[in-house]
Amino acid sequence: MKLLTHNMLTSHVRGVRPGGGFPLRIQATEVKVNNVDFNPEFTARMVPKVEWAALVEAAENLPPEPIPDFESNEDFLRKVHHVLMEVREPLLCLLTTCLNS
Amino acid sequence: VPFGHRLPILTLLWHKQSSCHSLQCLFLSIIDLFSSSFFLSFFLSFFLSFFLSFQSPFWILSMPSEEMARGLMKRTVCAKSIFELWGHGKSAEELYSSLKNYPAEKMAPFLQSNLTYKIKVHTFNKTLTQEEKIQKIDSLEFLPFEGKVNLKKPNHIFWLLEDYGMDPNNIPEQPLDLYFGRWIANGQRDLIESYSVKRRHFIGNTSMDACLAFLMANHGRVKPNDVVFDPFVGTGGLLIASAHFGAYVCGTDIDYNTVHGLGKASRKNQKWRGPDENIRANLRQYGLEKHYLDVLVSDASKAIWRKGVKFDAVITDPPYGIREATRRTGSQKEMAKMAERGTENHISISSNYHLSDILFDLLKFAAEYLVLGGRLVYWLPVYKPEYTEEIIPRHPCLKLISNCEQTLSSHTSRHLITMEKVKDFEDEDRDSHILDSQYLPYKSHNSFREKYFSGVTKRIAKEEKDSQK
Repeated sequence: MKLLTHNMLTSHVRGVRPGGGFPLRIQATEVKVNNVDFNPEFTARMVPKVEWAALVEAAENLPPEPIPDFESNEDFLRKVHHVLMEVREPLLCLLTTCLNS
Repeated sequence: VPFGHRLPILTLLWHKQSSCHSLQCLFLSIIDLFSSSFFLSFFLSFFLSFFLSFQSPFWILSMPSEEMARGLMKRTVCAKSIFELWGHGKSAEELYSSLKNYPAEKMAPFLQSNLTYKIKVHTFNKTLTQEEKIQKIDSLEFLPFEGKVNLKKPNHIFWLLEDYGMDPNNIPEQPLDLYFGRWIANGQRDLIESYSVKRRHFIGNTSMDACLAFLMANHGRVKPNDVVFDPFVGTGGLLIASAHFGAYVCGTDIDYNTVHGLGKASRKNQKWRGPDENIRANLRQYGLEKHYLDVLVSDASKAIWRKGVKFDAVITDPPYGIREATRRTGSQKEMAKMAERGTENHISISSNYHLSDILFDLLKFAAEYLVLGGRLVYWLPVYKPEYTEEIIPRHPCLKLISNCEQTLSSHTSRHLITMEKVKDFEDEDRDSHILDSQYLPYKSHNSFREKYFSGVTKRIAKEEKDSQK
């Protein structure tokens, strides 16, 4: 599962743990990476939409807050693109099984 | 002039009915036009003179600009070509006098001596010999062409279109309508062929026809960099159309085998699914893999998305229980508890997922998870003898934009419903559908399957028998 999707999911089982089942736990030992074409507009569009704290928790190398003027910073957007679209991690939570993990 | 410095141009739209034979596509194509042009954020009022005849394959419409016409044709799958209309008449003489009245200054930029041109003749519902066509072109010699003819690569193409009506058994001697215009652009009809389900890698029993999938994406006003979601994704046919328009796509389905491409094949002469039969491979086939987000095995009746997640469009074809079973997860105990509460007493104690519940869940989902202005597009099965507009499910956050019918059989049809989110979702909207479900008409969706399989007489007999119990 891509981290973008992971960032959008929560568990529908009530009371699994504090925080209302978000984010789902992931197993960081089996990370896969595959190349996806970089699209700066789409990535910039996603930055304010994701739960940044959960993303930082799931991935390394991200600043604790999105940097100012991120729309025009290609280096930053490429880094975010890599995390959101290219890194795939299997979920520990089996309630939702992903096709490609 | 309402369009600033640009004067509206009169255009002729050629839409090909025969290709959408299974559809009562006329209405659909109008709405297809409206939604795709609205998507381009132009005025709707450009349909100032909408001389519309449903019987004709040609429509005359007024548009603010040529760019607009081009933009429209980049999206629509229902129209074949669009032309700048120079003349129109009910007879050849009328056409010629109409052409002579067309302002010379509007013609001049396209007829200069340094430009090449060609004239094409097309007759609808009649075949002409080459001699007859040349004769018709020759009789247009009064037009002030200054450039040279170039049949292979002309700068401009002009068309003489003749409409001989719709009845192939009664073709009139003279055309009913004649049009002459400058070709502007072709529509996206080729997409129907290039995205045909016949050559798609991974399909299922109910894969959506390519034409309809594009139509739905247009109704959903899908645009580049959108996130589009299909809660009943199946083999992902609807996602492909959205991805083609530049959106990023994701979906869920309860069927593990379908999502993973396992089990029996849907194709004739193929028993089991091959390896790599999945949605990602389908997108790869069309060069759209980068638009793939994820496809999950999940139950559309359960909330799996965190609060605050927003999709730009929800485009889906829910299962009606005819060719694909309707299922959801849930234990019998859970169901019994719900029945006790008395709010949803129409749910039987089983894990069948009733159509009316599917629809309410879908509307509630769209109301909560769409961006403001985002659209929900889905098919609603309808038992024709009982159809009234009231059976179309409503939600306080969603406004009905369009409702078009496609006939399936003598007594059933499906309606393509497009709704737009017009109000933010608040907690009080969460259960608003339960109140609605007290209304009798909604419940009739539950028995769609029964009605589909039994004729009206059988059903009445059954109802009588039941009421005697």
